[in-house]
Amino acid sequence: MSNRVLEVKHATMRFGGLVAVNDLNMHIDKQEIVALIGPNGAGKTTAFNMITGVYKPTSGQVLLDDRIITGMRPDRIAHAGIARTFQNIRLFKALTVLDNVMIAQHLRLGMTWVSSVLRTPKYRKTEAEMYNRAKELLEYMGLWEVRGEIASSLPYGMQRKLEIARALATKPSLLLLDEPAAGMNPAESAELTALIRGIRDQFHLTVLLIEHHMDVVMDISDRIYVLNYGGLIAEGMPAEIQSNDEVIRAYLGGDDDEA
Amino acid sequence: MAKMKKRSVILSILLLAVLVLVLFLIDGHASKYIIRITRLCAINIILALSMNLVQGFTGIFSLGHAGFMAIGAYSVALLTIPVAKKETIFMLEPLIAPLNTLTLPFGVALIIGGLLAAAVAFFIGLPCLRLRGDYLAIATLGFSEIIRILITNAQSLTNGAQGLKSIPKTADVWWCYGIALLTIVFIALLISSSHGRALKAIREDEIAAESMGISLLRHKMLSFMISAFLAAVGGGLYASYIGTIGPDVFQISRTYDILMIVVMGGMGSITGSVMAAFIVTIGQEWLRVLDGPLPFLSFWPENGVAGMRMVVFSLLLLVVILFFRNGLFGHKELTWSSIGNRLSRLAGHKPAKEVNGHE
Amino acid sequence: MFDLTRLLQTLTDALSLGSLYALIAIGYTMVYGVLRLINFAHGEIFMIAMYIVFYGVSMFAMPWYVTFLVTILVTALLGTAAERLAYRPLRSAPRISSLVSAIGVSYFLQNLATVIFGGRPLTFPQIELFTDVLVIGDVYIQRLSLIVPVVTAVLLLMLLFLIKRTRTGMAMRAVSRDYDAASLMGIDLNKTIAITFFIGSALAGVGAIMWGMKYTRISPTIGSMPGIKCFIAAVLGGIGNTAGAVLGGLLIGFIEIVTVALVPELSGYRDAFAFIVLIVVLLVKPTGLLGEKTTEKV
Repeated sequence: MSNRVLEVKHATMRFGGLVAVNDLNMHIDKQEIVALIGPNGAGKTTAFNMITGVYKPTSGQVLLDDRIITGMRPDRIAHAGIARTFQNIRLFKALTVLDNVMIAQHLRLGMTWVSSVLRTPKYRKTEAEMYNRAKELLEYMGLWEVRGEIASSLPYGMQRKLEIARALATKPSLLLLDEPAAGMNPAESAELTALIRGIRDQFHLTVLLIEHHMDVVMDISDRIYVLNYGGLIAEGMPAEIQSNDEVIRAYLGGDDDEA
Repeated sequence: MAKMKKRSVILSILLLAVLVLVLFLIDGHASKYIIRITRLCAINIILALSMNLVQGFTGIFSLGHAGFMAIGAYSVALLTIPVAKKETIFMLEPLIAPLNTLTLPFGVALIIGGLLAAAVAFFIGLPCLRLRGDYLAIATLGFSEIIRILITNAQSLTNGAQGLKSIPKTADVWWCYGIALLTIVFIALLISSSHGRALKAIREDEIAAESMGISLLRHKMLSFMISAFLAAVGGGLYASYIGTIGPDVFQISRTYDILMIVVMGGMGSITGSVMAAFIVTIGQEWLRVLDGPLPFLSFWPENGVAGMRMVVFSLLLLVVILFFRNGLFGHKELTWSSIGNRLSRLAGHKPAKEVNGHE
Repeated sequence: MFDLTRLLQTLTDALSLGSLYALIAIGYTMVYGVLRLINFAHGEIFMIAMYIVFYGVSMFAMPWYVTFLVTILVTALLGTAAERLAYRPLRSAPRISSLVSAIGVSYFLQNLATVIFGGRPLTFPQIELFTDVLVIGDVYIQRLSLIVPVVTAVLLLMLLFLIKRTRTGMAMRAVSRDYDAASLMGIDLNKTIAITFFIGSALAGVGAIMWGMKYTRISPTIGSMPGIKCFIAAVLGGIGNTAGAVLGGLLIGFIEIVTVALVPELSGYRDAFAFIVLIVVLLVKPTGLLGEKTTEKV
């Protein structure tokens, strides 16, 4: 069995005349933490959307565990083992914290709505398991105390954590985090760094993250990919990236043309 | 926790017993008029819950209810009208076989109507459920009209514009409330199940729900088909309730009437829909006063103004949506513990902190 | 079987019906453009316009041109008032709320019309200048059938000029492109939206006058079916696109008239055609014929 979790081959995404991502090649191995960085509008979130099936790549391939997942629907890709968070938090706002995490386990329910409604013994057993797992995850994230609160009423930092908990609840093999440290102060992002590492070890996960906080990126990543104007301009260990001229130029000289 | 749950069960059984007693009294002693309205309340509960399932819990703004009601109503009519009567009803063109020689028990006819509507909903849903919010509204509304147009034109099946009469009035208080109760329990169980949570997730955020592994089309279809089934059952009861149906009964305004109940009760609240069904049904009857003479208003025409009731009714719909957008309960449910908290707050006690624990 | 005479007859019928649909469709597309709202009440505003003409000409014996002007003005104000009272308060609410509100307005106007004007159908006043029949060879054409397309074309050109060349039009385009940005750029949202409703409703008024003269029967429910069909026309042409709405309206008109002319057995299903068109469009090209593609940002 190969050690490769995700492989992106020559993936290109065009919107009309705009090339958001151009010929992207990247791979992530088991239990790695890989960061995808680049100036605003470089195509990072578009890359995420291609991997998770929100967009179908114009050309190229995405493989998960050596299986082609290009063009599959997002829910099928979630089944296959990729979970994600969103840049601008997309929780189930009006539902409770607990429900948010329970919902993410629905994909593993494996029975029809009839069993659900009739509350068959098998359903009750699965529901209890889902509840226990939700409890485990929420406790791990320090959210168990607020399980009855409505998601949108949580403070910002907790919402970010809940989104991670929800993603973990789908039992992914690969976790995609879109700017998890956005809007956090240095103390909070240091805590987050420890948390992500903890998650990786605890749940044997592979992590791909988009992040702008360079201290987080340099601290946490095993490897880094750098995108600019939709194209890959560098790849390597944090130290290599820090001293890469092209990367420095992209960050200092790049215009902020957020798409 | 367990104690509170036990108390809720006891209170619910008590409420049910009181309800049965009240229905028994109404059925035995009240005037025909009161009995009619009582039955209509139950039918509207079923229709409102069926609409609330798609609109309130799944976030699909479907406006096809009148069409599904029509399917249920015509199924019940065609399957329960006695054979001898059918011959006299179908004057222009005879009814096609085997319906012309067939009668079935009311309950069976209701289920057949429901299944038929669910099947139709499947084929309507395939194209429509992929659409975004308001496009879906127009498309489902369109299908509802197409169903009506088909009914108007299928002379040898539906008797066209002449409609059907002599539908046996089987739907008494017990039928109506029995099915309404089943519907309430069913919806409550569905909504609180894992599938119900998935539906609510779709309502909250489709993109996030799909990314969490929830198949949008499959779950929307589930909600849409169940809703169509229940709407048809409600339509079937309604056919038996009024005794005579025609294509005109199932115009878009039927859908709007149900929408009023759902909006007033709160999109996404079962108890809200149930209470609003009573309020709107009874309220509409009270508003009948407006159609007649109003002696205390000197400027009011002597013979009253026919249709004034509907003007006020539609104005109320506007007032509710403009000023009480969440209706009676919004997404919330009226539960025994919430009533308890409200009461103790009224009595000046500090409410026991509610923990939305696990059932 | 299908000779030249009938062909011409069918085509003029289709052209005039299509033009009427087009006029009403413009109102839907303009409102949807700025508010992303299906203005369910548009069909009812169209219906009320017909009653105003009826009362003006048949009951109060006003000259037709005065009545027409009054009708267009009142209709436009009515549409603007609906926006002010029933849509504006819900602008920041979930879209489903404004949709319900629009349904409420439509239902209210329909019921109100039933009370005020009575539920029984009335006959629209015939104004000879328009309803005279011209005989060209074997073809009988109501003068109106020729006037309708011309009026539609002139109004469309005026509207396009307004949208493309004036400040008001620029504001409208800005609002429909990006609501929030437009307001940040100092565009008066309320005024722009009010103008949009005013123009859209005025066009519905013009459409109603010509519709009434052509089809002569008026009732409180007369507006709902053309209303829905014209929304479909707007979707077909590409919602938010004025020229598209006209194209969509013409197409729906042609599809209805020509299909029934070719297969008379289908005449009972005429009202269903538009819906079938809608489903096909939404499945094949949801952005409509002239619409622009939009992607939701994730």
